Amino acid sequence: MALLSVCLAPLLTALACLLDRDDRAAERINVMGSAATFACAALLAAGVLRRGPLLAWGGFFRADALSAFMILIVAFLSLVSALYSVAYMRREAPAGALHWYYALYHAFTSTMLLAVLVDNLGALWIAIEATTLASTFLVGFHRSRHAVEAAWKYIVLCTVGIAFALLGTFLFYYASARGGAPTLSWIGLAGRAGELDPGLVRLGFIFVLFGYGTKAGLAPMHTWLPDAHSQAPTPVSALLSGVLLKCALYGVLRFHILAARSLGPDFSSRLLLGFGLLSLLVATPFILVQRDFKRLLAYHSVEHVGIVAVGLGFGGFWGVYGAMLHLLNHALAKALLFLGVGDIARSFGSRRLHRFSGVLTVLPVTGALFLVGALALAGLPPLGLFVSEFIIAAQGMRSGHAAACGLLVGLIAVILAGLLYHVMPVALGAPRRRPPERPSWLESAPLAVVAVLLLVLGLCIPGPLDRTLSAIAELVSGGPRG
Amino acid sequence: MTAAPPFWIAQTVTFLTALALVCAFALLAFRSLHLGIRVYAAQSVLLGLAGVLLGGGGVGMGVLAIGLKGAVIPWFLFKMMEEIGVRRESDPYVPPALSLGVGVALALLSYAAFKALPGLSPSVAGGFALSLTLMLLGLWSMAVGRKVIAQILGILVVENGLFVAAISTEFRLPIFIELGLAFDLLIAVMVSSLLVSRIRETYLSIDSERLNRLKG
Repeated sequence: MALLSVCLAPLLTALACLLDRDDRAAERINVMGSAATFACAALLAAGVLRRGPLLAWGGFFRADALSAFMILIVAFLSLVSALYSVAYMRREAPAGALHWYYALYHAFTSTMLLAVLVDNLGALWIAIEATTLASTFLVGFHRSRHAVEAAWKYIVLCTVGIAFALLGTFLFYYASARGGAPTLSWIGLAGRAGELDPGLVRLGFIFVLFGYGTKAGLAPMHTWLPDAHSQAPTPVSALLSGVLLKCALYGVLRFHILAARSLGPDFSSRLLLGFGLLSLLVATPFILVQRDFKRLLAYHSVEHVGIVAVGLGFGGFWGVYGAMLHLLNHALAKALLFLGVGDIARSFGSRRLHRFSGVLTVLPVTGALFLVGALALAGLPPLGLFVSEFIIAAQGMRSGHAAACGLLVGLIAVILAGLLYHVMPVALGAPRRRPPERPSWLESAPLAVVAVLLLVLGLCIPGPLDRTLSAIAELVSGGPRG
Repeated sequence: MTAAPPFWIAQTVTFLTALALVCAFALLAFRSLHLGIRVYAAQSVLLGLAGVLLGGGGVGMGVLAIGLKGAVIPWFLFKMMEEIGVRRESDPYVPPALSLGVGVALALLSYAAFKALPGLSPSVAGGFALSLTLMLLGLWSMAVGRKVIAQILGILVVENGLFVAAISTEFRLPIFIELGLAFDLLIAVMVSSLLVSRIRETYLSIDSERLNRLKG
């Protein structure tokens, strides 16, 4: 029951927002709905942690450790952004449009939750396509020329991209017929992975990687991403970068497990490693020269999705463990930064980097949160991303990918320098002017929680999280901890 | 697994799918958007008929395809073109002759990709190769199309390619997947048409060429 309620809660919230049609009521429904969604998600994750995989509807819905992990990230970020939206969107949205915003917002959340809960790979594709359709008008919410252009690129590139993932899914479906009745069920396919035709699996995985990789923002299919991230309203950018990309990556990961069990780990790992390093390489120059802050953060998404792919590519227990931990850390850091930058940009009335200066002095709370987010994203200790990047790099050396590992660490170092170059004057420079307005505590409080979580993850990995990550790492790598 | 279809059915299906391939090339060659929508409708009907003839899982999907993609979606696109009062030529970026040449290369590439797979029976390999060809041709026509309607047509041809892949697996897809796919397609067309009218409002033109302000 917990399984279905996770999908239903945001869907009902969306419907309630539409039926009420009143902006203030929609805000209240939004807060209650996202809290309820998060509560259901937490219950589900606790259930999976205690009792192992849960099923519903005769196995159509299935939540294992990987699903539970994703559910919790999606629901948590959705909650943070929803709380932040209340104060932020009131000033951004035209009157009378707010209930539409909240309805689309929760519909978008429900499609992402659906994607990580279904066992059927065809249904997974439908859900991921639905995430695009639900979020197109969120990306184009501002109706400016730039926003409409970004929304158009977003829907066109993502729809066409993931069409190839469906072709790959059909190839797996066809391949499954060799071991009995054809099936699209992931667990069914995983059970007979050894009998699948290797040629079909290879070609199928390549299509899936291109398809879902487009949506995940892997270079060179990432071109929609900076536009969509920079033009969407800030809370939506946080969701796009923090969790939408990860849901597409989740699709790649499910197929990676199938391919690894069918062909051995080398084939799909090498592809992931290659695309991951390419993403880092492509993102680096854009990060160094970027002047628009939200675009800067968007290229950081390309970078960090690349790092997660590299971690999966290094493989082994610790490669997957580090990649999953990085996925969580990046989601938190990115939400913190996008929302923090949103506050700063609105307070100063501009998105250009050079207009902000001395934020820490004029907006102490927001400035401090922003600085924590930036240092976390740069991968500095004692914050979470340092730990996960360290685990990934260590696994790279251990698994004998010395050259790839050197490239990874070198690029991370260059990007760190670039990020600090952009961020330090903004945070610590001499204040040039006072912002006309300050963010309310309603916007800052959820961000403070995220910042504390990032700090905690940098210092220790709590027991339940460790057990979840270990379960995922064993599932993906097929080997025990060692 | 279904038994091999009788000879005349196999022949007719081959003929229909060959015509559908011709339609995809015709889309690359024609300049008129109206003609483009008709060609798309014809292609969908041809593929739908092929699905019905193949029987098994293809019947439901074929009927659905003929109704949805042969009638509803083209009607919707015509209505949209009327509403936004678009000029009828698509004037693509690349001259049609060159465009067709690239199309042929893409088709050869697709057939080569599936020829190399020993695990496939020749008819299934042909189906998947045709599917990939249609998808790549759709992608290519999107890349060279200047108008947003031309890009929507490109996406729809890509989707027709997926339909070919679905009917050539020879097994029935679960019914909720078929319905889900059709529903997704319908929503995608509606969302993009809404977006087109919004582009029209903000830009007073539907040249996708003008959608190039976001760079770097």
